[in-house]
Amino acid sequence: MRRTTAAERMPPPVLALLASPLGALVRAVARVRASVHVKLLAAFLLITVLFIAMTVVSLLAVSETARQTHLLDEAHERVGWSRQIEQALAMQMHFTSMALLSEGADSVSLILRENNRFNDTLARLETAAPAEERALIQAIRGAQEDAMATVADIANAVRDRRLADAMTALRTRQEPTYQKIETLVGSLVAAEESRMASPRTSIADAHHRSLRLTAGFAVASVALALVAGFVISWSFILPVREAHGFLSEVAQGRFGGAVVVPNRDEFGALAEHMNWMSRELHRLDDEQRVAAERLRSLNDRLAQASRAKSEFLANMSHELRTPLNAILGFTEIMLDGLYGEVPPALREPLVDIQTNGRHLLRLINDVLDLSKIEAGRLELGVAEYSVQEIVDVVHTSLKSLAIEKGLTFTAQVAADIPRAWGDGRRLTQCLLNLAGNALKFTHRGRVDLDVRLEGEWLTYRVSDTGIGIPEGEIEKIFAEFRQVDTTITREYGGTGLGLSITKRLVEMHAS
Amino acid sequence: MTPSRAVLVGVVALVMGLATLHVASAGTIKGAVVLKGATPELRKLAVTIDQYVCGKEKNAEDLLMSPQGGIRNAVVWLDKPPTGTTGGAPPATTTMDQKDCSFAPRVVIVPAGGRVDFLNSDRLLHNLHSTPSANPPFNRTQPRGRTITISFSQPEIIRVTCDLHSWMRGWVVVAGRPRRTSWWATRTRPPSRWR
Repeated sequence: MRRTTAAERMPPPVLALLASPLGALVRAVARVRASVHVKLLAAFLLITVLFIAMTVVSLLAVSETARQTHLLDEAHERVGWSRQIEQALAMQMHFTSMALLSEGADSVSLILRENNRFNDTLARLETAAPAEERALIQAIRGAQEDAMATVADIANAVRDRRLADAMTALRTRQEPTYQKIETLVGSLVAAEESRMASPRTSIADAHHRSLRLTAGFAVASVALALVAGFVISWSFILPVREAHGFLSEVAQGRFGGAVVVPNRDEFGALAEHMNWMSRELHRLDDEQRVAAERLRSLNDRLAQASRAKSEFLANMSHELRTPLNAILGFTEIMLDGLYGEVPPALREPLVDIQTNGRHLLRLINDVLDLSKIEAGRLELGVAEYSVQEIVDVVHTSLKSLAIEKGLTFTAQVAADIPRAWGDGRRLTQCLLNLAGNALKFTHRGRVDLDVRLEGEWLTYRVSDTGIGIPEGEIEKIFAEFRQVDTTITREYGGTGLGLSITKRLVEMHAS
Repeated sequence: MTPSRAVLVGVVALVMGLATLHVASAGTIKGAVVLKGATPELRKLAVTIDQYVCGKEKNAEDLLMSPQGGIRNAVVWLDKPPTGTTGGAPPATTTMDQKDCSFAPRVVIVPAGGRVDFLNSDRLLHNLHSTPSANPPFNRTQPRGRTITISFSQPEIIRVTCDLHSWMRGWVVVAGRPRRTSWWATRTRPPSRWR
């Protein structure tokens, strides 16, 4: 039977993935000469490195955004200062007008204050301005120098009540100067606002770039994690599945197969061990098969020999019984005096002949029975029988032996026992064997035979107060030609076939 | 201690020294104007406007002292010098600049009839303002680079301020006629030793 591969037992989606380049990657990873631990660590580090890269890139993007934001803030600040300059200019004009209108010196200090505020703001602007705006600021500074001189002249003229001079200075010098400054400041503001456009665009770009990068990295990280997880896990699962299939084959007794995995890691080593085990099992299996074949052949020959033996014994028993029956018959006729009065001197030998002849007949019958059983020729004559009858037969047959040995021998059958189903003749034989054995091995006391109905089964029980059987010898007593030890044979006699035949007959009833 | 008091202490100290002096022949008077007692702590004034030129704080400059107790910018004169006394007469024209929002020097001496050229080295407007009692008052706005010359005809100690920067104080000491008064502008230690 062809063994299914691990791939053939996989779900279709996994099969599709393994058939794709991803499958090639799985096999490539499996072929890498590195331990499972190192592969897992490498996958983890790969993803970690990607996350670190993502973090670094995000930080760079944030840093760039912060830098652009800072530039934008600075530009905002410079625009604010430019607005303050414009405001200071407007305030100077306003206070100058106030001073001229009120003809008082109170507003003069305000003019001067605003002018200095202009200077202060311009100085800040100059410090913070980029190099390309310095020229513009220098131009403003130059105009402011003129404006300061004009303001001073106007202030002094107002204080000196030379309002006409102040008015002239205002008209001919301050207004043109302020217009010039205003134009320059306007250019500055325009330049700053133009400059702000760049950071704004950069910030928007950086923001979008950051979003794209973050999303890209997130997707890449998840994809990498999935791919790494799939590749690594399947580079482990494939050999495990192969091993599973292989072990199933082994469990079913099919040896000699091999686990083929691309792995060069622990799984690869495991596969090599399993293949070695498979080869060993296959070799042992072959050897065992050869041995079994030899045994089978031997058994066949033994069975054949046994059958021949049984047939021989059966035939021999039959052949032996015929003349023995004649001997017993003639002996009995002689003892019965049909051939005339038996001389007293011959009676005892004749009785011995009869006794030994019967013993020999019983022995031959036993051998014949056992031979039939082993040859499978003995068939039970199963029919209804009376339990009481067979027990009475046994009791009657053995009662004289019990009396002779001074033993109490009882046979009890419960009154509620119905007629039973079995071979009454063979059961009688069994009980004669068992009870006869008990009487044989009991020197004093009693032997009891009783029958009980337990459910659908009858239990015949023979108990005695005899010498008993050692624990370890119980099984032996049912073996043919076996007794507990040879001294028993010498002391008690017997063939050693009775219990064996009894066991076989009882087992035949149960089958 | 106000500037006027500082000058006063210097004057009194030297006059008291001279009271015990017996001049038998020609000689040279040298001395140091020293403040007795503990040196007052130098006060700092926070500057809230025009910091780009003036800085963030200024010394109060009520009294500038050396670690040994010497007083800087002290002015000493002899009201009735002995006959034949020579030297020490201030030049008729002197200069007082406005630099980093401070008058420099802080005290100038001119003889009566002399004049002071006020300068402005700062890149902002200053405003010379003074209301002396013996001389005419003046209140002039001054841009950078412009020189304003003020003449002083009467002996007087005149305080000059700037309306735009309240911490600025300058002093113009207008001395008497050279024929009658001898002047020393004392510096008890070389300038580099002074704070």
